[in-house]
Amino acid sequence: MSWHEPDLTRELAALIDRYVGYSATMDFAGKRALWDKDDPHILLMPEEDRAPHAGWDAINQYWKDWSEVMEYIRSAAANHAARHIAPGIALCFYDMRWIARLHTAKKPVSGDVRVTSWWRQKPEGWRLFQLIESPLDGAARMRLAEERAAAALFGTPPV
Amino acid sequence: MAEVAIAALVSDFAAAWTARDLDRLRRLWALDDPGAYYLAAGAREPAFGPGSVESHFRLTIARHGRLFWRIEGLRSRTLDADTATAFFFADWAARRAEPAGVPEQAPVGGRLKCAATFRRMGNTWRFLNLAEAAYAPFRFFVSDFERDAEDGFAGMPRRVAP
Repeated sequence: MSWHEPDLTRELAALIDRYVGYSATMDFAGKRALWDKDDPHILLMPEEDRAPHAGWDAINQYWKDWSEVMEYIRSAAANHAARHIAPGIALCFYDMRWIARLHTAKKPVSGDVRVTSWWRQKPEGWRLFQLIESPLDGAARMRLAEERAAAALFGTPPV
Repeated sequence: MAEVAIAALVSDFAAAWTARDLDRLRRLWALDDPGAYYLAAGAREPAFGPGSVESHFRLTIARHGRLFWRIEGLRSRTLDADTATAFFFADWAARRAEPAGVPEQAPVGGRLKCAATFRRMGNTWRFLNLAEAAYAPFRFFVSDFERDAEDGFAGMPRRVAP
């Protein structure tokens, strides 16, 4: 049996693609609209921070800071997999690649994160209430980089 | 009341990792639920489903001769009568199990940011999902190099003359 529920996955993937797409235009109002506006305890844990942003004030401030540091950021999501974890509550996993350039940087950088997102069914549709970005940890990321180097030398694709 | 039970459950989970106790880890999870999910910070593939979650427990224990987990900063809340969620930090350390004759490597460790879902089963709560997140590697390495700079030349490697 498959872990994910196909219909739910399609529905949430469409919302996630919208959510991720708002990054390109720094459309934080668009992002905000996909969170549960009635939940004062929403929680966002970005990969680049040591502690979560909990509550609306903290998340709004995070987005404001982000827009001041970034020259641009583009993101794309893939491999969505969602299932209900309770009536009206769903969890959705997806991979996200971001490509960004900071105002102070000479070149853009990119990274892949695995995202776990929690959604609540509301009259207006599914809305986020918790999200955590999980990059590969430093040791695993270094290993991946070295596998790419080895694959180039051996002439084989990385595993 | 649920908050107290979940705090005890998360603490027990840390103790089960530290004890490398597979049965105890199994008991703390709703492994009869097909929705079980575990994303480990160092694993390339998420564990979807109870079999994959149990495999993660089994392989992690087999690969390490020593493990340590400690929980800090737990904040939990109920989503409905039988479902709850939490965020917490997990400080971990591990020493790999080396084959006989291979020198042991120094243990490694770090801090994980964790978000979890819990399911109430009768009078007890169990983990249903857990997503671990490491500090972003690009930030981690910069902060480590910054720490080297803070140490200054006193932090240079010292070797015995060959």
